[in-house]
Amino acid sequence: MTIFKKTFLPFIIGTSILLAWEFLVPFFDIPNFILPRFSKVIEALWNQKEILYKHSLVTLGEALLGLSISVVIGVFCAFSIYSSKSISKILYPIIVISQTIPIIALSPIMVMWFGYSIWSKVSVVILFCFFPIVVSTLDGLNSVDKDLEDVLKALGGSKTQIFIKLHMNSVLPNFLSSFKISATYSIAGASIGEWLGSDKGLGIYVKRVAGMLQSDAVFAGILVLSFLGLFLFSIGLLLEKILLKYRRGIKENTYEIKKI
Amino acid sequence: MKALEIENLTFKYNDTNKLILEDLSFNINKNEFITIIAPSGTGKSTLFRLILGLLKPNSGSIRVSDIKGKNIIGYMPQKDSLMPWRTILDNAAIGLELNGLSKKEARNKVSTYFESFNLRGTENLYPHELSGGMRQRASFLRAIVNNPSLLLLDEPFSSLDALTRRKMQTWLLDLCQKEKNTVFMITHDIDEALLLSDRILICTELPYKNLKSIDVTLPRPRNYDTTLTQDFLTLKKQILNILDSFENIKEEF
Repeated sequence: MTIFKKTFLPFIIGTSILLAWEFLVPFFDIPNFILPRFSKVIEALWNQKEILYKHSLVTLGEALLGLSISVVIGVFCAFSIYSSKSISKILYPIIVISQTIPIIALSPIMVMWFGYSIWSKVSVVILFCFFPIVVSTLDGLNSVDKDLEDVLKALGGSKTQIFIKLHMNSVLPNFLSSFKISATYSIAGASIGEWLGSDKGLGIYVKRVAGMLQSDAVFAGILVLSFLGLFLFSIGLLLEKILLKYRRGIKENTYEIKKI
Repeated sequence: MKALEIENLTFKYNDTNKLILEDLSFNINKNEFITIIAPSGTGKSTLFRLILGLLKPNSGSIRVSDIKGKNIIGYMPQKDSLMPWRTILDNAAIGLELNGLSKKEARNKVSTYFESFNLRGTENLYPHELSGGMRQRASFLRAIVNNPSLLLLDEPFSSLDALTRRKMQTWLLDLCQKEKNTVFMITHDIDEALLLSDRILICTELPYKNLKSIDVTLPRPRNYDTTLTQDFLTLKKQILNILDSFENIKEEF
């Protein structure tokens, strides 16, 4: 792929969308409270930067805490479901059913249980995030190369050794892709949690300024939220880069075999 | 001395009534190269899994002699089954690692084999960067570094193209003629079986009961020209006849 297609094209397309936003809004006479011009949003972002910064730290904290707990719970659930048929029979339906209930409907309960503390928001984040991790990690465990497992058993590997050297490694790509999904969900979870009961955080900030019809500030808040999501997502990308180094080259050119 | 003794082995999978093995007995002597030929889907791999201890027989016994530690069997599956996240060196070293050597010791020990396995220069590459033949040799190396008293090869070359397969067969032939190993191999390829083996076992009835044993009397050292000699062709005809008669039985079965 040429540098043009790789960098310039996305850049040009992105810029044109923003320019269209900036100039089509006055062109069609769209009122400010429906859709503010892009420059207005940036202005609001600049004017409110201190407040936004304070709120985004709160939201980021909730999301990170919830995401970390989800990783621990999700991986633990996946491993227990994988290792025991009876645990799988008990746990798996519960996990699936927990996802069929709309989480937004569950969130007030979290507020009732945990009040206005950080834990009501964290628990909503967990409800959003742990499911993709369980499902994807479990899929990874179930698709471990059985021949390879046999080879390692034949070579004298104990159960623990095989688990550490084989399962934990083969599950990594699946785990990391679910981590990326959950990372973006975590911000959504945190702001929904804040809507329902909080006095701090970007979710409640957006709700408040929307109530005052300050749509430029609403968009500024949304911009920061999406930036936080991107930030957490890129942590996932970074982890992939570090942990799945060996994959470099698999995607790009499968048939290139090094000449020795 | 026997490397493997199988006595009155009977096995069926729990969820079916069909016996796979019935009262099967045979032996493999130390340093013997034995090949088993049977139609696919009849349970050769089941036999391997029983020998590896991954399945429990319903009755009968399997004895792998020379039991010093827990690691005694080297196994090479049909696919190379290398770990994509490990370099070739680390893939080959896994057997030693599992048996208590540190990563560094294991690497040092394994790297001495790379020359004779035509793998020099691949130490720090990942499996996807190697050709099919190289990956098979790496898989073979992994099976052999622990110095197993028995090597099980499950159709080791079936996934390779014809040219590479031929090369690999000659390579394995040379290797086994230099260093004595006890090998038990599954194959569909009669030429491969005749070229490599001291003895060929042929399945003539289902479930596996009595295996027909044929001594491959071809002189050693052999090379690929051996496959063109009259003795070779006579033996091949003999095996083909046995397999043909088996096909008839199988259709009635």
